[in-house]
Amino acid sequence: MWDIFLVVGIGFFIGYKGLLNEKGIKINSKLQTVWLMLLIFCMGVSIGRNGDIVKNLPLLGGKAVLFAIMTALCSTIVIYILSTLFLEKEGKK
Amino acid sequence: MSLAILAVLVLGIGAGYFMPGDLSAFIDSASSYMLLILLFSVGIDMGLNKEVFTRIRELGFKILLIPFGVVVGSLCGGVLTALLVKLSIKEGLAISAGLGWYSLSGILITEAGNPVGGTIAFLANVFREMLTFIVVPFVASHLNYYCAIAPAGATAMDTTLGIISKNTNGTIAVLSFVSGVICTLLVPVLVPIFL
Repeated sequence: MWDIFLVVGIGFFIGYKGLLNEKGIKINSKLQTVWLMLLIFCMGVSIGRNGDIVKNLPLLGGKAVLFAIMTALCSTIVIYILSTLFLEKEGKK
Repeated sequence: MSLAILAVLVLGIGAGYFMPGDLSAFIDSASSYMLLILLFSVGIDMGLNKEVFTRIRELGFKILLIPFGVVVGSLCGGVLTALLVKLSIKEGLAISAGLGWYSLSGILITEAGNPVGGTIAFLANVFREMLTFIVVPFVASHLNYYCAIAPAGATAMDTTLGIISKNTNGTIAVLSFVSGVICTLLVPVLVPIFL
């Protein structure tokens, strides 16, 4: 967990202190999409190569998918209600 | 965006299943470095938003509403699912208290003597993370930015922070990180409570 704090912190410092010029910021934004897609691909590979996941999928996959959908959905509903009631609207980027 | 992510994810899963084991092991271990590079890049974006500290100060304790809502929503989802698939309420709560942290929740429940529950928790939280990648762009544009943090649960501080940042703004990315850290700290406390 500390490595995450470290890299986010260093990145934040660079952004906050304006150590990147306009061009650098644009490149960073484009590269971010590349890193994101690569990460998602790598995570897909981790799942595909995991024998336990593939093996248990036919029997327990349906229940697991339902848990995933319901937890994500209910969290979203609760946050929607709380943010509408208590939080200022966050603008577009 | 969601479709592209789904395609890349499916491609990755297919590749991981069919490619030689040593190559997929290499890619598997590369993913943690990929994550750190992505988070460095997201950190820069967070820092560019000069109003971030002002906004966070304005929000004050309200920041805690997000992780609170995520936990309450997840547990409600867990109870409803348990009722639907005929598991005990306690199992449903323990599985949903994983908040997307699949490795820990799966192990905790398995070690408590419930290997089936542990496997469901592992899979459910893997799927929650996958689902988050796919739905965040949609949720951010159709509901509001705060809602984009919700499906992520504990992963809002690491794996899904990039997709949330990409689809919202610097302030939300910081809120997401904070919410993810709090959820991550809560998982090892919450899961055992329900076992």
